[in-house]
Amino acid sequence: MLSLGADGSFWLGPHVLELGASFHRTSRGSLQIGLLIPNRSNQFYTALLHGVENRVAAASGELHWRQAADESGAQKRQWRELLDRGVDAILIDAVDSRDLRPLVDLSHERGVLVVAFGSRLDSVDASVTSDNVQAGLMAGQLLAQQARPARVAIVDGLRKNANADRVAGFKEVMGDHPQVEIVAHVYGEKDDRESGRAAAEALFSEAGEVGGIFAVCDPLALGVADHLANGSANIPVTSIDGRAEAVAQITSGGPIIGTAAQDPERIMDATMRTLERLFHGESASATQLLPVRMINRANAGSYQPWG
Amino acid sequence: MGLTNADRGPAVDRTIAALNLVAHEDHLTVADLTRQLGVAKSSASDLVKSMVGERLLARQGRRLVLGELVPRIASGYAGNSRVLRRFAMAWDKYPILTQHTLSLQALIGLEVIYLDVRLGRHVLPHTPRAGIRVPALRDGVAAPMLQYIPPARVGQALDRFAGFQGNPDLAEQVRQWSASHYSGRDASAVVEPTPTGNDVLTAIVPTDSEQAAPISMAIHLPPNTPEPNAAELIDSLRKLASSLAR
Repeated sequence: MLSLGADGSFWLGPHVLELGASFHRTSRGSLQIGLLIPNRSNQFYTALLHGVENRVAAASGELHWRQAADESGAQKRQWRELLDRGVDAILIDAVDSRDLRPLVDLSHERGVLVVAFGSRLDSVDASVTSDNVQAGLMAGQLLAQQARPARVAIVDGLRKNANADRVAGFKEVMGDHPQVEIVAHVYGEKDDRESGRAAAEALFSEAGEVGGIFAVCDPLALGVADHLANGSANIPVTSIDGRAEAVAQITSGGPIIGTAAQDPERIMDATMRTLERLFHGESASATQLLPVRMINRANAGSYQPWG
Repeated sequence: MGLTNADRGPAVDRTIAALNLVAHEDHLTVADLTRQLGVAKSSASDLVKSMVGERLLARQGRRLVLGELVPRIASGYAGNSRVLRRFAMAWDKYPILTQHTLSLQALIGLEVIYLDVRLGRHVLPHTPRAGIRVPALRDGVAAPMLQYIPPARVGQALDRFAGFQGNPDLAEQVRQWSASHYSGRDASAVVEPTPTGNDVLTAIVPTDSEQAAPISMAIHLPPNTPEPNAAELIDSLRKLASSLAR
């Protein structure tokens, strides 16, 4: 089990390799996949986990998933822990897209594939996301048509590329509507309903009267809608995600009037296909953008929401 | 407190014996282990419980299998666990390779060690198996992988094990052979004979880490195999080698 060297030091003996080879012959060794998500309580990830668990099981792999409760530091620690565990790949939807390059580099040094999903990351092997710019464009277009007076506000969330792309799309389409002015851009602490309520309160303190609100995701929008329900003003809200509760508001008359729907299971399906291609040495597109679909009152009845 | 020297020997012996039994026999239960080790049932149960706790063994229903710590320790040769695991998972995805005996090897200073082997249908003059060590250079004849590893990396491997292997004259011979025979390629172009009697095709497994032991993969063929499709074999071998590094 050990070999004694000429200098009196010890090293692994050859019998260790015989045992290791026996292990691999009988167990075949399964693909070890690490999955990092921001928050398990977010229904987007519930739907997504369901898809990835089935897919990994079908491939005889083993899934190790971690949720960070929207804490960037926790997610970084979880990433390191999965690397130390010896995973073959990291799939990540980042809490905060900034300052993850060292972990991406460390993963590559250890031969670990990194695929970002939901939100792009720099220098990873591949990214699979909804077309978040398109989503912002669609939500902005709808709001520009509805907002009165022409003062709109942005309720942003976690500092990740997905949200940045959505805001970029929103602002781009606002450029086509010079009569609309963006009067506030506030940030929720997390991408959740409570943060949406708090952000709405801060928004109205900062900007006073607004005629429309764009929220980067449905949980924030639902929080904004909660705050609006306490007042009398009829202020339209557009959002992104396509989850059931937002769609229910759309069909019942608001405040949420539209949501650009993404498909979590489709995102994870595309992510896993990309991972399989990369793992087998095939080429894969560095960035895949999956189209979104604008859900408004006209088509909400025919849309099957998730969450 | 703890084990005395008198206790430590038999306990280690029983642990290694248990590992060997589980490694080489299928569907081994605790009862089988008890019988084969020739110990009391309670002793075998305690031993299995300890080994399962340390991940040297694992339970699959009533069956005992090697635990995940075993391949992790073995991966010390390769520098990371993924190469060995991926070799085990991926080799049968290349049908042309599955007919042949395939070995994964690491250059450990003055020796080449077989990390893992998959046996094919041909009977070979030398049947490789995991754990076998062969000299990297003997009587002027070098292991095939040596000509595909850049001399600088060969030097690093020699330096790493210099004290352990303690043969500076032979190490210098290996350095000089490497410097004068390095092919500049990362894989064979033709089938090559070896001192073991097998003919081989070799491909280096790429690695970004300068610290990892150089690793290669080889297809072993019976000597003078009539017109093997070397081009197709080496192409599949290189693809498999590349996939291990990802």
